[in-house]
Amino acid sequence: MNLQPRSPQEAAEIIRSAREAKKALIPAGRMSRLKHWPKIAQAGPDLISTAEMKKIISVEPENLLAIVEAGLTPAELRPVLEGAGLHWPVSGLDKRSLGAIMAEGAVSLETMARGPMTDWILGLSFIEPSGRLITSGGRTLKDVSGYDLTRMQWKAWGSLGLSAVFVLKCLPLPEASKVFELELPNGPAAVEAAERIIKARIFPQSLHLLYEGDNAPKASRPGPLGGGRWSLLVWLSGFQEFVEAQGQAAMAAAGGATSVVHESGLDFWSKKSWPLEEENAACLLASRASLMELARELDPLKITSADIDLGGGLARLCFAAEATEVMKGLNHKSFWPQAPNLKGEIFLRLKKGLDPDDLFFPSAYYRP
Amino acid sequence: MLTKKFLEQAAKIVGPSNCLQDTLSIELYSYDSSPFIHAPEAIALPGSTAELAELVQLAHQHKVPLVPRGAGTSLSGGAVARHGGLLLALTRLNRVLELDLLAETVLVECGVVNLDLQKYLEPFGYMFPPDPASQKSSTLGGNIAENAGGIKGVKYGISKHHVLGLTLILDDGQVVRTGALAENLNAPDLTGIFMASEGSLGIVAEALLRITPLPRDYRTISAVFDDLGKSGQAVSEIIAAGILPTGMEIMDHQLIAALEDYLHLGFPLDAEAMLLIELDGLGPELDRQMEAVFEICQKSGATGLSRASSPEERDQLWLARRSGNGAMGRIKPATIVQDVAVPIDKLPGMLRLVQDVARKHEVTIVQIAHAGDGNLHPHLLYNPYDDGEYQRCLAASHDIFQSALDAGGTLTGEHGIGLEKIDFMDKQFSRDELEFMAKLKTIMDPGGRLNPGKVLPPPGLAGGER
Repeated sequence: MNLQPRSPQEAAEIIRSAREAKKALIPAGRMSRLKHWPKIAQAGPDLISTAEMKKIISVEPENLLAIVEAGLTPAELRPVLEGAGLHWPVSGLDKRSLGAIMAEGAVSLETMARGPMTDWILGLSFIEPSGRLITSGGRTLKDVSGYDLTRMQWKAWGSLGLSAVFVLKCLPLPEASKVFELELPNGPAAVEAAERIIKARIFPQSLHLLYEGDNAPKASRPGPLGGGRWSLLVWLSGFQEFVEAQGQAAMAAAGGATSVVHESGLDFWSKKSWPLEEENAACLLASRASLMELARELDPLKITSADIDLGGGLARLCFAAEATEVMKGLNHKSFWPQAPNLKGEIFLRLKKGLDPDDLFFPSAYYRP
Repeated sequence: MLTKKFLEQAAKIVGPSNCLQDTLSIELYSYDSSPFIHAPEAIALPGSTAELAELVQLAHQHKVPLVPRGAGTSLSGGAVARHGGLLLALTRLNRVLELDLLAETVLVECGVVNLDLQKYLEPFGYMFPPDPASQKSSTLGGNIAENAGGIKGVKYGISKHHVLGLTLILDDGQVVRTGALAENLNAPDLTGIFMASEGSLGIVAEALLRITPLPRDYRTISAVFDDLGKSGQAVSEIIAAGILPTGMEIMDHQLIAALEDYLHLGFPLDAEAMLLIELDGLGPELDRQMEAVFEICQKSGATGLSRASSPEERDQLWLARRSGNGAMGRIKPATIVQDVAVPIDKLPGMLRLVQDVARKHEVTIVQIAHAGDGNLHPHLLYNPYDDGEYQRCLAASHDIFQSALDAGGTLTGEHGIGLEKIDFMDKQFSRDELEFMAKLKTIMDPGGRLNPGKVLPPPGLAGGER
């Protein structure tokens, strides 16, 4: 059964009822990624989805905040915020609900300059596994009263509660936002250019190394790039003068590489299609140094395209061969979006304490 | 009561000279920067994460309460031993372990002093943005335990925005790593629940911090007003205009006078309020923003506007702001510092309301505010030998708490609940919320031995209905 409450109160009621009946519940957002969860699809436990909880409750430019329900997607929120002169700096995750971004710990494009999604949440109301609606934080930019429960849900895949209402911290809409696309001859040269930009203390929103193999799937090609080339994407946003000056500085630091300037950074990224949805594609979470190493050693015979986000610590890779075989060879530890890794001493303590009957996203469904 | 056996074992772990039980040490460690005084039974100063973990494990075996402490600059009683036990003074854990300029991170031990880290990073062109007023002495572990902010909070955020991972000692002495320090980057990241937990869920031993490039240029503006509320209005208007200064600080007329008396900077003694605004970035963009700020301040009723014309003048203005607490000693010898925060648009009203509270209770309240993020620091001044005045200050504090909550705000923006605000938690949180937080505390610290008596009210306080 797919239960779709229309309010946090309805969601709390459903969770309480399920708890009383000792029935398992699986939290979900807009269910855009349900296909990655064969165990759930096969076993058929009840889903509680926030798909119908997508109201924008208020937008307050004078307080740099917006209050929204967890089923809303960034794509639905953006035009409303832009109309109020605001920007929520969590980009590149347009189709997922805010609750899902939180639950997955999904990496925003703007992580390099702005940090993860959790840095842009002032308050969160969530329904804890026994069905009580809990609010943490609120409408102030600073708040250290009590424990910060907003961050408890980060990367916990909803297993510690269902996010219901977010108070989002926003920024003034940037006056200018541009992506400088610098063409480089090969992986080592692209890495070297990225290193020089970091050392020059340029403050980009994001810094991506992009490899497009000759046989890369079309959908993964951003902008005007064709196949078989390396490029470095430097996204800058802020006041016009800042963007222009830092863009020039980035191009100089990169050693005069041929460049294309995309005049609207936000549009550029919102049109970009990630290789993630392709077959033989995977994501890799790793340190900046590891990602640079990956770019230097990337084997074009095996990888058809790569988007390496040096700020977010994430590489999106498309493979020519069977993905898992190649990934094993890379000797990296963290993959995504395979089954969540709900482990760790603190998490296990919390899960056991908050959901002793293991009913809210039972471990059987996420353990491999 | 700590047993002889426990103390002998503790001394063996840290060395006899780092396990203190003498009267003078007990007296010295009974204080932090709040009015609360509670004596620990002994003090241990571990010299490494391993020693700290061993001590916590020993305390677990002997069921001894533990109070972690950095430099003792807590303004809310977070670092005093309310229930005795062993005080863990973490100031010897003061090493910078690793600077990674490519990743823009630094790994530090919890006892590194905030300003020492800034000085360490500066030659590399980086900073750690949180800069609490106590930065000369407060430690990064303390900054994390209280989620300290500071002057740059408007643009750069507060401590939690710059902590990527932690090495923590759990209640039983187990060492765990979270966030970017965890072995698997895909596991749940529970770093956040330890921020501002005042050492009551686990003890921070090491932290991986995100560092930020130092700004290339600054513009520092001082605006003078004949009304405190107008200065708050200017702050709201600047934010609403889409300008995000590094910081915006309000000082009231009493503080201006005290600072002028102390530093002789030529501050206008007839002003009701001064608003310090700093912008950072690249020169050309700053000039345009500065013009807009000037215009907004004028429209909000500023009676005087000036820009620091040299780095020295800028340094003097910030020295004045940072000297506020000391200068207030010229007015009265003791202070209760409040820390409420409100949504930015409620700031002007809240500043006026605090003035009304001072009149109502006949107490001296000096107002400083990290105005750009709606965080007020009303300083309630009193004579410690005048109990009547102290009681009036407490009553005034309670009115300020309630007013902030009525305005949709919070009891504390960056100083923590500690002991000071614990009785008001039920005014901000519902019964369910307090019970949930208590459950979290029980899960992480079943024996209730980590900084006992802090953050959460005793079970008798049931919490409000919302």
